[in-house]
Amino acid sequence: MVERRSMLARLVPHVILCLGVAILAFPVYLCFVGSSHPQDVISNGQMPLVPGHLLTESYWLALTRGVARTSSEPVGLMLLNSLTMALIIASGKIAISIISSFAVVYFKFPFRMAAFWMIFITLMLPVEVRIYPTYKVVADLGMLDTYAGLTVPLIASATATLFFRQFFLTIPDELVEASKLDGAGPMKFFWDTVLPLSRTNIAALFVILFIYGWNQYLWPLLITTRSDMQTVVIGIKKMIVTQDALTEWNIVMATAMLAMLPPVAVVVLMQRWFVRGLVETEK
Amino acid sequence: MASLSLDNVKKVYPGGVEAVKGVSLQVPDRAFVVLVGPSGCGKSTLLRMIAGLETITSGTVKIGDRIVNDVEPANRDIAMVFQNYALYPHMKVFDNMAYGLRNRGMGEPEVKRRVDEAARLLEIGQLLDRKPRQLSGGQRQRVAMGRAIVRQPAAFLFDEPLSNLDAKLRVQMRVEIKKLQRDIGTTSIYVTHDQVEAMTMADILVVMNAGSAEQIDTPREIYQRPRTTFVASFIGSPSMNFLPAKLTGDGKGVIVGGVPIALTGGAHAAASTITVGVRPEEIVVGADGATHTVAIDVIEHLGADTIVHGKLVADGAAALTVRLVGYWPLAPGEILPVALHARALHLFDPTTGQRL
Ligand SMILES: Nc1ncnc2c1ncn2[C@@H]1O[C@H](COP(=O)(O)OP(=O)(O)O)[C@@H](O)[C@H]1O
Ligand SMILES: [Mg+2]
Repeated sequence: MVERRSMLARLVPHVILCLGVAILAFPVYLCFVGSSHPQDVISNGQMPLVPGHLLTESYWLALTRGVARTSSEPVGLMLLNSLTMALIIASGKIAISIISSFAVVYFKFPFRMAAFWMIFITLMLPVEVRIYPTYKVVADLGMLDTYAGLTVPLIASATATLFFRQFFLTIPDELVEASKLDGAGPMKFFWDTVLPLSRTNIAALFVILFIYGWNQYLWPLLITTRSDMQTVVIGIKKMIVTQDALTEWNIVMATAMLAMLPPVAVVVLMQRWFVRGLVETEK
Repeated sequence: MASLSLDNVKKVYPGGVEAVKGVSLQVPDRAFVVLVGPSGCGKSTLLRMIAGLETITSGTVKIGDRIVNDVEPANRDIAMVFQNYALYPHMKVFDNMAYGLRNRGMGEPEVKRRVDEAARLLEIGQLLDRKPRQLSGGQRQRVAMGRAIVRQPAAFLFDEPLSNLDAKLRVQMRVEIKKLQRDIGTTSIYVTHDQVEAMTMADILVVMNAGSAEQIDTPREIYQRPRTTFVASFIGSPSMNFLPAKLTGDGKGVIVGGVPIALTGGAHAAASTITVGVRPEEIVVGADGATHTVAIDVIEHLGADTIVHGKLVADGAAALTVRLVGYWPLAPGEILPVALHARALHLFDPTTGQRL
């Protein structure tokens, strides 16, 4: 914006933005404050607005011990499980969808469009819809309580395939032809040209898919029975017991804060790439 | 370096579009052949069949002594320069030029030697570390040329390589490409719709129309003895004038606009009605020896030339364009006496468009 606008006109959007940030950030702040007070303070329904004295202790206990009950695992382990799951899902989705889009866009084979539409239709079949048969297959294959069981059923991605397909369609045909004349076969074209050109798109997609994987709830809940395979999102839920008084609220809130950190880190680290991948293409 | 020959090459696209209808062409070693024609006449299709980017429906393409119909593009020993340059956006200029060599397993010292040599030839040595997006259109064009040159192929194929450049740069690059080709002597096929490029660059000019080669000749021959009315009107600017005329009974003269003109040779035609073509620059203006008069409609002053658009004052009132050298202070509505000389006339059959 180059035009000079009145003070008021510049202030209004600013105030609205600040309000929005405050509304979104306040619960996070409360959670942070809650993690630093003893559990009985919160159970009694007094919600303080300034941090208490248990800050380091809560986080240390959460990371290394979890809640005091015997069945619980340290949050450190849960974070590791979640991280592994999210990384496998994000990279697996990207690897599979980029290869399938490459096939659909650059190769002529019988039923090419049929294959494309079948991928497209899976948009209507997320895990929640096909949960019973998927569970049965995974159980029969003996993949309960494994990383494979956690991730493989979630890995096919129609959205990412569509996203890459649209991007590949914008790569000029002459680039394919120049590669052919330069003696590059299809896979060499993929490695030397398509993949480097897709870098920013891959980065953008990675951010979205990592968060998708990290936030998985229903599927890990079904598929994991052993507590050492628990992900942090499920771990938080299990820490909250029905009798309010028995819930170690400071640990729960510390865990919630910890569970937020990896996605935040991914967004912050990849922000530059993320924005570039969504708005500009290097062609 | 090699000769190249096309024998009755046809292309029918899926869906039935007959883009190239049987073109035969012999290209001697080191020749510069230009394919020219209006947009959609099949020039690119023909070039891409030679490159191997389109399948050949029928006929044969030979590069050197080898029939290449079923040879992969990479193994045809040709290099192509595309209209939009088609540089790899993520590779530096050096790598763009080296890519094809490295893919063929050439050793790095030889790759470097060839790229440096081409860069020197094209004066792009200082650009080797840049990415294509950091280059101007003209520089990209040079890099695209460089990518072709380093390969040292049997033939260069150009598909309208200059049409994305501004007018001034286009003239400069046109001269450079021609000079470069003469220096390194690689057989070249160059597609353009620009008749100036066609006339100035070609050793052999192929004028294409609706999928056929209407005439294959030297530019001079094509200008002086166009074989059809299409070629006559496509080459030359402003276009040749076409006037209805009658052939005299003995075939020794024509009657144009009621005025008889004795022919130097003679002509035969099926019917006595023919078409006479005369180039705007070959119409002589002046009262002495004038054969016709022209009523002026519009005058265009180009600086070096004056173009007069008018009508022949005669029954039928055919349109006539005259090109005069220098500045002529004429005005619309004036009457201009002109002479149509027999040696300037091209006679065509009005139904087939063929030269008589
Ligand atoms: N891939 C294609 N499929 C079907 N028709 C095509 C294809 N490419 C070109 N054509 C048609 O073939 C004709 C010749 O095209 P082209 O060789 O590109 O012409 P030019 O390069 O002379 O402008 C045109 O009528 C065009 O519409
Ligand atoms: Mg074309």
